[in-house]
Amino acid sequence: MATPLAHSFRLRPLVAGATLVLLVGLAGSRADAIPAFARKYQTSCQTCHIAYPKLNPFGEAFRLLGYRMPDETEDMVKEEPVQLGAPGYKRLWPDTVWPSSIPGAMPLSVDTTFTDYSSRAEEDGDTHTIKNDFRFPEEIGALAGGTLGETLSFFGEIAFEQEAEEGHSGFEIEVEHAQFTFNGPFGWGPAFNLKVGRFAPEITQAISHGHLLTTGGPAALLSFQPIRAHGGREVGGHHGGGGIALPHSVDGLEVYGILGHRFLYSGGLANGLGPGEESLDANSAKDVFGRVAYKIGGLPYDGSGYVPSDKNWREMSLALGLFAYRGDGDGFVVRQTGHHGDELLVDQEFTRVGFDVNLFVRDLNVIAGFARGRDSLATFEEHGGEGEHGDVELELEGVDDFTYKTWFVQGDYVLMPWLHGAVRYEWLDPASRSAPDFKRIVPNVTALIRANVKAYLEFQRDLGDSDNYVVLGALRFAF
Amino acid sequence: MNIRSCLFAVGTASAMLLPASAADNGRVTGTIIAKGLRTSADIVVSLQAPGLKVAPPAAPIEMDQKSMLFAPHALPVVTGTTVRFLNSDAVAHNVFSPEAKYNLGTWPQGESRDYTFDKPGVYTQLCRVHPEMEGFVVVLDTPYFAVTDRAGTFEIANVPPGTYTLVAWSEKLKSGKQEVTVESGKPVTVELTLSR
Repeated sequence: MATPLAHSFRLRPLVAGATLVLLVGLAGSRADAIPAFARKYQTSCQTCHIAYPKLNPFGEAFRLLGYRMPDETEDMVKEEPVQLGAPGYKRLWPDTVWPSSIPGAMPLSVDTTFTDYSSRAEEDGDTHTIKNDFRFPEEIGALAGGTLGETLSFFGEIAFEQEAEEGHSGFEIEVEHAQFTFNGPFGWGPAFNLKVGRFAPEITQAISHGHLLTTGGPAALLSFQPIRAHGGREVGGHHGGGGIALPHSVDGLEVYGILGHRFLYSGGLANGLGPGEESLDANSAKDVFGRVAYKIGGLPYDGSGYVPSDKNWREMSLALGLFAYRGDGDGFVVRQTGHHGDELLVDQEFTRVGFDVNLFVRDLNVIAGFARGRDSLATFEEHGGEGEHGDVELELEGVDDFTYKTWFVQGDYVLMPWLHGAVRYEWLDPASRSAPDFKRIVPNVTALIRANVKAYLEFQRDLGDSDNYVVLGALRFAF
Repeated sequence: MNIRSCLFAVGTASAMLLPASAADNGRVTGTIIAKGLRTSADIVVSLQAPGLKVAPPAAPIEMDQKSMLFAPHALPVVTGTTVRFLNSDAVAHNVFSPEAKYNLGTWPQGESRDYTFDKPGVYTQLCRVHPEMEGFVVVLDTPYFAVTDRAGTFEIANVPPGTYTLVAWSEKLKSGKQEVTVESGKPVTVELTLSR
């Protein structure tokens, strides 16, 4: 079978060092703390966060309710919204526009991170060492979030990341989130919500940065990809597609809801691998994903029955989640350069199935996840030179199925309200040609200098045959 | 004379039409707490009983549109009262009510329109030109009423002795009721909480 070459990427040889570098860079976006909410409710970050952006159970309910407090009453909102129509107009619909409101003040926040970065990475037999690289700032995020009346909410983030590559440095600008949610339309309450835009899907929310003390989510689940890209373009990830790994960000639609206070469901469609020639999704088939979870003990997902406590990070609870993701990369051709020369690959169909666990025992929070991934990789051989339109003829050589498994477990502990410790262990068995086994340990110590200012020291160390590591000493503040 | 004093005077004047003498009348005061709201203002408190006779005032009662707001926000009147809707803003305003199904049209600053409320009930006042504006005319079959201030306090004076049902109406909360017995020359204090 001859297939026009739709896209071509030059890939780095997949050795442990390159794997480490890529996994650090893609292990989840770093936002999800919005000081604008502190202004709206005249409340501290600690109301919703254990150590921002890590959410406490109340903050999780706040997020799931569309950035509203459980049983929210008018007097909780200190920043009075601007009415776009009096409530009396509801009775006149459809002869009038349904009334709503917008935040009284522009709900903008800034989140900045200064990092002292050190690392050791081995690649192609060469070792690259960085000592105390001051990345001041490493990232500046501009965030906005809030509600628009009773049944609409929004969240957006633009990140400016300072990067250096091949002798050049600069700020990369990225829209990390741009989501709009219909919360409980038609009076359905928290049972039905429709999210549209670029957002973190529920399948990875429980194991993402918003629920972990560490700087990013587990790279082994969120960043491993059987096909990898180089040349300034990513295969999947959060640039225009759901990615081959479990995505920490998608462009699509998601329905989610809370049933019976403690059962959380979600399901969605998203752009898959891309971009295409003239589209963000390389083909017309959408990736699909879903998750169900149940929480035993502690505060229910909808925050019902909430009783404030001076130790609001504590509870006794266990949440279990099951998730699945299916992607279609047909027509998206990737050139992989490896030890065996160039290969042209298409990830025709891939699935990720797994579960996650979130356990709270007083000051200890244990988060764990497991995923099994399966990819049908089609290999093509290139024939001839460029055709009339620049196309290259491809011939299918074969299709092979590859399976990988990965899991992680992390413990976050509140030593004191301002001092937190965490340690994560990750493991990946790629079972494919693309990368060696991967094991990593990540200890972290975080100190809240203020509710909105934190300092942390994090050590990411690859284990086994690799001596690769990353050391981060950082100061992060938001307002 | 401000709006609240005017309402007090109207309520009192209506009561004076009744046979009991003023010296025998009691006074009902108290606080209505609006649970979950930023303020307990604009709750209409009335004393209702079977057979109360009222006579609407001869002169219209005014509801203004000023600074892009209906003023007062909640206006209680007795059945049969004519309300005069003013416009004190430099922009044109409109008044219509979905319950009473009237639209008085749109008029400029300085002009007014009248409407007579012949049936008891709560009538929302809206402006087609400015959809965020909202006010209420509460039409009652009793001359004994008041509107709470920001703290939720109210006073209804010159109430003839007897047993009444105190009704508290709020635009955002469920109405509350409480039985009140008024004795000659003695004040009665009421505290009531309204919720969703």
